[in-house]
Amino acid sequence: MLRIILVTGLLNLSACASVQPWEKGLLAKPSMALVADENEIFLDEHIYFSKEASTGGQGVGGGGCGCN
Amino acid sequence: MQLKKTQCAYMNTQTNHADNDNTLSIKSKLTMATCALLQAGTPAAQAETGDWDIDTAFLYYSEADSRVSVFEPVVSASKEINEDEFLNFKVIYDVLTGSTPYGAIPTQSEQTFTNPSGVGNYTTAAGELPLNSSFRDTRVALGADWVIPIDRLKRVSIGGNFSKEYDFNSVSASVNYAQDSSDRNSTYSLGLAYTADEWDPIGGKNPELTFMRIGGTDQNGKGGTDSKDTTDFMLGLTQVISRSTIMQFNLGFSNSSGYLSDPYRFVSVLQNDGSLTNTLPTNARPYLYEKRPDKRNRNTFFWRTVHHLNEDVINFSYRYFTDDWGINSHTLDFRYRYELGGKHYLQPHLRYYSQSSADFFANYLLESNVTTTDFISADYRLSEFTSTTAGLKYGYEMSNNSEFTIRAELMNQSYTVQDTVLTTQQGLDIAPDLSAIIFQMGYNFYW
Amino acid sequence: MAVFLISLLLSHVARPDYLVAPEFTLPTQDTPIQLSTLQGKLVYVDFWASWCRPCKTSFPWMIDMKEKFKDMPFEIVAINLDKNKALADEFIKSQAINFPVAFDPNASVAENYRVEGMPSSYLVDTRGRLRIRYTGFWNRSKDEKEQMIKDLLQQMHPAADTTNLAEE
Repeated sequence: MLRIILVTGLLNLSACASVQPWEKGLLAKPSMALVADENEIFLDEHIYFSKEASTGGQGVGGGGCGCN
Repeated sequence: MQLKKTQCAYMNTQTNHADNDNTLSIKSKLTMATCALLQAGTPAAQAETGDWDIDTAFLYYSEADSRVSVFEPVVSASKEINEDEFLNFKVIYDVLTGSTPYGAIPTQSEQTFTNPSGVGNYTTAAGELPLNSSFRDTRVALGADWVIPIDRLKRVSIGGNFSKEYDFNSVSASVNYAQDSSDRNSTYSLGLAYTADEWDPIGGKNPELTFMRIGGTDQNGKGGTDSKDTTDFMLGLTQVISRSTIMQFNLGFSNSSGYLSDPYRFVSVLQNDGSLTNTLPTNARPYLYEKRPDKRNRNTFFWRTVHHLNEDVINFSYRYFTDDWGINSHTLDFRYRYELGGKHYLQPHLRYYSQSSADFFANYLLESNVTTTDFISADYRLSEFTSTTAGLKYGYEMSNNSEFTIRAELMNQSYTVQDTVLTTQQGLDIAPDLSAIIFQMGYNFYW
Repeated sequence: MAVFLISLLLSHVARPDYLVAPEFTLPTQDTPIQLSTLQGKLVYVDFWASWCRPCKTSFPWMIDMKEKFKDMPFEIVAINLDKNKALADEFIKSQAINFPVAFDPNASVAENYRVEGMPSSYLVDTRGRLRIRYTGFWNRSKDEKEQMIKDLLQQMHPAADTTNLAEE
């Protein structure tokens, strides 16, 4: 099940058109960050991993304007 | 890749104390969490190198029926010390009060339990869910993270976390490497973390798979401390899909070993009709201390999408979790940022979670099965249940690039009773729903 | 033109064949600007946008360079790529810009120049040839870029005195 999700997802990615550097104005907005409010996500994760059996997942990310 | 304020330690792995805990008294290795290390992004695009970007937040969490309440302030500070090089710090303080279930279920009669200290006793009325209220705790956690650029497309970050509370300590270290494609539309990342936890329970560890002893009598070897280690590995990909869409995919692998049981929890031992067992050693109570395996392997698949509409932004994520204790779960999280025009916004939030139970989970244990049980736990957090959260957040950007936010949410957990309902249990709610309110205020600014 | 442009641009080694900088005519806040009318001067062409932090960080430096080399045949043209001009105007108002800012919202000039990152800047010599491309902007490489401008000015006008430049 995991593999199907993964493969389908990655296959879709290769079909994406390349976004040009000057087209990243929207992606540069703070509201477009993968995690716009880190403390909120941190506190939520804290609550949920204390009350549930599942942990983790989020990890690292990229994004933003891609400048420099 | 623009660098965003918090270059956080990558791992969002946390460890519930015994992979459980008394709710929020957990160490936050996960801290800098979520941020996605390397998810650099310029804060409000107005900070200059040299400014501290400070985010503060205060959480108030409170469960219904006098169960757990938590007060938790958090302060994160981030600074670009050299071009593209960041230092981040986080300080968390939390105070826990209230009562929590330790695994026993309601019966038709009044029940008496021994305190974790092994000295006193407490009683629960007939038909009520037994809760232990002698637990109070405060916790302090500190985290730091250093992001070092290698070149225009590559960076490394190193992080450390420390958490301390009355009965539990945790230390962790992590390292993460990230690389962008030349068009900066993709970011590949690799992370590794190691965590060492130590339990020093009140009254000492409960001797696993033995009966609770009456308070004040010989506690049958109850005592001592123990520890566990966790190693986490994560692979990540962030991909720009279009001018207005970005996605993130993570695969996580985690391995824990050591003392993974909860040192305070136990399971009710019953006769076939559902009444408490009488077949007990001297001075024992009809509750058996739990035992979990000493190893746990966890895997996660995480997918997040952020999409910009005309004005608004949708942020949606899905996580699939599976481990070798038999637990599988799905988490769906949805946030819709509705711009109110000008400097403020409203953000409704919905979260849906469902998990299967651990192989060794049981609502209760029949006396005839006591000697043949290898592992068992009645911790409701290992049972089969669904959880739904709905909330609303309001954010307001002030003139000097600072932002104020406030949110209120309601969470509800609803459990599936998996063991047969026995005769005397008819009419009893042995796994009542849990509701909680979540309230948070935040203020982010530059200094 | 395309592919070779990139590889040659990235080379700092003097070569006999440089590519010609693509011509452009773009609107500014005043009269439109045409690259070919700047022939005979060293031109620093910069592509930027208001949502790009390092782009904004580079402005004080560009303003400083224009001032420093004001008695030399040196021009700067900052080409804005914002889709929303209002955001660009807001930033422009906040700076004391001493060189023309052109607008290329459709990014057709950016495409011709094969811009690979934001910001991107190009040094075009007196014969209209592309000599160097810089992708990104870092404060730590300001001196190196200033030296490159001086060197190219020296090459163009060996008799020119670049030792007594206007100080801040």
